Amino acid sequence: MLSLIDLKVGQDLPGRVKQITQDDINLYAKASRDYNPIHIDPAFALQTPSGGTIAHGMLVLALVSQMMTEAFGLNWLSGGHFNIRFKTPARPGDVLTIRGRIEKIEIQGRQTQIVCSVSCANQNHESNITGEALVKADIPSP
Amino acid sequence: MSEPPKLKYFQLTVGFEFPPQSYTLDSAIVDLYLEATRYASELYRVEKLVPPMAVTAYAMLALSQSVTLPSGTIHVSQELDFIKPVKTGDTITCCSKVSRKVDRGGLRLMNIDISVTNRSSELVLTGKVGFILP
Repeated sequence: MLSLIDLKVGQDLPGRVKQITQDDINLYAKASRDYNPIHIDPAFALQTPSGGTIAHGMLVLALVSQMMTEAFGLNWLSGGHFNIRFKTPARPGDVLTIRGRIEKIEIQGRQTQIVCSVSCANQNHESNITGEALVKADIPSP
Repeated sequence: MSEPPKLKYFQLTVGFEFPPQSYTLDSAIVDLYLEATRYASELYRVEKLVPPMAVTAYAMLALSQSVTLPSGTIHVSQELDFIKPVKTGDTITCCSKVSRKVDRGGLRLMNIDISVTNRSSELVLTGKVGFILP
């Protein structure tokens, strides 16, 4: 977890790289109970404009949330904010790179607000997700 | 008892509130979610908190159990505020409301506001989901 005192504007968050497989998507469908055939039925998905199955957007966003949890711990769970857009869907076999960068740090009294840009892109550098994540946290006493 | 029929897009108007849905996020549900997302933070494994995106997934499930959106609907945007952690075993209640519906020049946009409370009726999560419909 990052130390709130040492954060700097321009600092990269610890990123993640993850390959998405159809097994991951199938398991996420079970966990989220989202069995939309566009995610889990290759024969159905082939007949749609996507031309094949795609990962749940919320599965991909969960990977971005994991990066925020790694960076900010409990502060993310009790003061986190996402404002994101879904771009290109992730497909089975894609290798996703999740990145975050601190864009702004605002301090008001004992509380700090950290604004980060976040993104997820595939191996072809196509954006899956772009947007902003914001964390509010109390600054620890020295 | 049979479930009520799902609503269709054309039946939705701005301000429409979907029936609240409640789910108990027990350890089996949370463990499955952690396995599916391959993430083992101590906050979840040791402190037994529920990943906020798992709570979000159930808020989305509540929505999908209430309405059928046309094939080709795209989930384009998501805002979320994680207000308070949810503990494994807690029962959450998910509410949602249509906050915007625009039909203009063949482009159909809809936003749905979501909110989730815990067993003590404390607000734990709010958000806004954006859809483009065919």
